[in-house]
Amino acid sequence: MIGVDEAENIVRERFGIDLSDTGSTHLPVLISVLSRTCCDVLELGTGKYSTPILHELCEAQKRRLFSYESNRSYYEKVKHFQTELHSVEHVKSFDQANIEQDWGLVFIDHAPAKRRVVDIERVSVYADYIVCHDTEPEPDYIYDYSETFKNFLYRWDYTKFETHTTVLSVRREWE
Amino acid sequence: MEKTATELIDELIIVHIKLYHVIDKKHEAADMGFMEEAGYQGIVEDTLNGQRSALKNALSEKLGDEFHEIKVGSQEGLQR
Repeated sequence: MIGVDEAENIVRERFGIDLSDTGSTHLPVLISVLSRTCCDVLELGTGKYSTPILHELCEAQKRRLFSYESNRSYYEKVKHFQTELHSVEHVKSFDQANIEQDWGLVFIDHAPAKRRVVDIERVSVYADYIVCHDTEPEPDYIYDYSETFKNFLYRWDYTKFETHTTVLSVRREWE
Repeated sequence: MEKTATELIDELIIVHIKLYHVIDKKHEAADMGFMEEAGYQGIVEDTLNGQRSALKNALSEKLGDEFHEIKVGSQEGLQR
């Protein structure tokens, strides 16, 4: 199991990523959660850091990864990741994403903003851990996270950077 | 010295991130009508795709059907 502090070092030292970049602050948590789980991974909303890293780590572990993206431009930048183990799909609406199945990790970082809580609720009983990005209090009026987060038995907030990341679970405690 | 699986995975991730950036710049240039710049970024993209394929092949040879645990520090080797 990789702790978050260790994962920070991996991101900085091995991948050469600057964690002060808003789009990268979830990476230590993603890597740590990935190391604590063993089944399929779901990524809602793709990214320049999350998609490559989840792709390679899942491929190495022979785990299936499903990435859904509603923004055509973002999709064009990640569609080449498609493999037997990694499904990369463009959807007009996340209603089209079939996500009601068991997941080791679900990563929530998609748009539109209000859609995030809808999909968190959809996967809540299926996921060991749900990792949500942009969970600092200030933009809560954009995402409406706070009400939904109350429904989870376990919650852990990673607040080291300006942009926060939260781990949720109804099944497993964060240790 | 032969690269370890972890080193190959790390390099692949770095190449992927560069590729994302280059594809982004290529699309941006094309959208703005800067076709020469878009063409240049396309060449960089091809180069990176070549590196990616080479790394993928090397990793595939090393791992085969094996499961590779995410490694930290100096730990290395294949584990189930």
